[in-house]
Amino acid sequence: MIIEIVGKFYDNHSLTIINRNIAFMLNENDKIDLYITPLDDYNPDANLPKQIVKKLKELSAKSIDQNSYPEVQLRHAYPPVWQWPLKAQTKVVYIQPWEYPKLPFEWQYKWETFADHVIVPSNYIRDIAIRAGLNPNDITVVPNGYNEKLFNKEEPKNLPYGIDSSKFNFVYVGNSQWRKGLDILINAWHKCFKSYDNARLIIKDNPAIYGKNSVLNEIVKMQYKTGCAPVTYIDDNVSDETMADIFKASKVVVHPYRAEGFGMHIQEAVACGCVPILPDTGPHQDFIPEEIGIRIQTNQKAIDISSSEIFAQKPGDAFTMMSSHTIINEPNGQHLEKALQWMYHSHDKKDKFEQVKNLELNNTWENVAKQYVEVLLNVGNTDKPRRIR
Amino acid sequence: MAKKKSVISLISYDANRFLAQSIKRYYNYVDEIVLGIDKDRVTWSGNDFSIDEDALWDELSQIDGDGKISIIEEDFHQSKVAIENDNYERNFLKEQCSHEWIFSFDADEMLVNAKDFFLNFCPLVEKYYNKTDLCMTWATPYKVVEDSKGNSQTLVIANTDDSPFFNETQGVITSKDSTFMYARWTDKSQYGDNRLMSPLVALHWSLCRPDKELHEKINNIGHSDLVEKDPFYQIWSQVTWDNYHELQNFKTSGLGGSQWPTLFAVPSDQVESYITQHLGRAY
Repeated sequence: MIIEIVGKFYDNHSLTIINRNIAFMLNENDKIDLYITPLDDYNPDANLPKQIVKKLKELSAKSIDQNSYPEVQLRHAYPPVWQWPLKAQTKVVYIQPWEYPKLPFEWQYKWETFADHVIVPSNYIRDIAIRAGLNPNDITVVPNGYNEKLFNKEEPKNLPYGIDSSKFNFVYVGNSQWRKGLDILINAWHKCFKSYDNARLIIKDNPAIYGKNSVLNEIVKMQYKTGCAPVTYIDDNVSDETMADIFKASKVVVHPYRAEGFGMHIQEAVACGCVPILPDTGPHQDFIPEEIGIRIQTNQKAIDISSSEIFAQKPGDAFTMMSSHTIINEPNGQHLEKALQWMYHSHDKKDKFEQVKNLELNNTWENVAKQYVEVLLNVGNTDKPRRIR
Repeated sequence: MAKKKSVISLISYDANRFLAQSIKRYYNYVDEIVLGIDKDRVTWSGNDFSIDEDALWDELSQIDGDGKISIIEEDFHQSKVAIENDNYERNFLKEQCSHEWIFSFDADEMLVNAKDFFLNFCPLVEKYYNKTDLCMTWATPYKVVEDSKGNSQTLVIANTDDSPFFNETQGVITSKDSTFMYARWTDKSQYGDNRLMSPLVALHWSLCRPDKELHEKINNIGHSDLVEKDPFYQIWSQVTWDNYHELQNFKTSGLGGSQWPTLFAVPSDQVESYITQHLGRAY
């Protein structure tokens, strides 16, 4: 079966990482003839290993017979790609992450009338899509994977940015978008740890994807004004190898998010032995068992999603009939403080580390690819595309 | 160990009045000070200048107990465009520096809280030294006048609540791999990105100097081409003890985004104390 993947392949955005890994895995399947159509160009700043770039170039240069066509086109981009495929016979499958509890109405409408199937990474998103009116038979959960050869419990190979694994490192991966909850963490951090503590917060930001922000100004000011424990801010494009080393040098991954679609870095950090501090509800519940780590209490809060402080709108975003008001789960800042301090001070924390050490995560890319293959072959073997003309 | 710091500064028409006093503020906290002077004693705008060099060298040698100061003579007036000479001199001096972290303080800037800045703040940011430029805040005395009793009063640019106006910031710290593009704004910071604010405040005596010296300054600074169209000097000349309170939103240069709200009179011997009292509002 000829399958085409359409999306970005050359940066370090989570969607791109997923596209790369799915492409490599599907390419190894005997039943699939795969090629890719990148929506981006090669970017040396992303620090991708040469062999990965070479494989991507080969997959994008691959030509199919003039008389052939992709039987399934797998689209994974944000905003979604809506145009019709070149061949009427091509079936269209979307992978689509989303974070807020209301789905854009256009998506539900387009998926019902245009898509042959929708894949989402978590049951949290599946529930949102079904609440928005999507036929439950048209949507399947396939989790995002992780590379167990990189993200594992081996010792770190290199420690960049002056990171010292003898410190009690807390790591946050995300950006300054409101939904990520970095503000909640920063507010808690300076109340929990002082400069004489052995604690350090590592913030891995991604402004190359999400835009410039004032996080560095804020955290430097916080350190200066409060004398809190140090914060290391990293906004470079770093490789998966470096990210794995940062996780391996850290003890705790903390992500007090308000809205999230999956949380790939949570999975990767836990695979490296980090104890997770997470909200008491959210998509991580699919892959991090309840007893692992610490959960922060959340309270439902009404928000106006059209506010620019909450949702940084980009061209192509869809809001029609979505309504401006929705609910998010706001992590409790005081409870986060208690969780941070407990992980640092409590003698019982060794049990938490032991639990993570013994945890086996299921979502290796190999396992995830099997689920993709099943969905894609099922869709490919249907009679004809479902598009309503 | 703290990251080593090089300072560049410029010797020109106002060096006798300001330079030694300015260097004293930061001398103990930096590792090297590189001073530039035009070999023909010509300003960036192409005008001759003269200073009492013997007095200046004597003052500098008294300060320089640790042998940190060096003086570079070069042709810094090669272009007919003042700002190009400004940029060239700063970049030339930067290249002479031995260290990677480059601090750039002009002679008429008197750091108010240097000790706190260098000892408490710089260690927090030195790991980002080549990612972002650091900015300081200017506190700006405007003019010295006599009050009705004959006392010296300094009119300081202020907010309407009488606190110092702290809305003007200037990039002053960068790394050796940067290029100065517009005076002290570099290729990293010139478009507003990569600017890290700091608690550092400097009393900026740019405007507050005797009439003749101010006239000399505004005709020789890097952006002297803009000054020609600016009614600033005309307004400044007319400000007195009797009328200063009438000035509101009186900035005419268009440089920077903020208006100058008003002026506040401070006894001239208490200017620094007035600024120090309000330092918390600068950052």
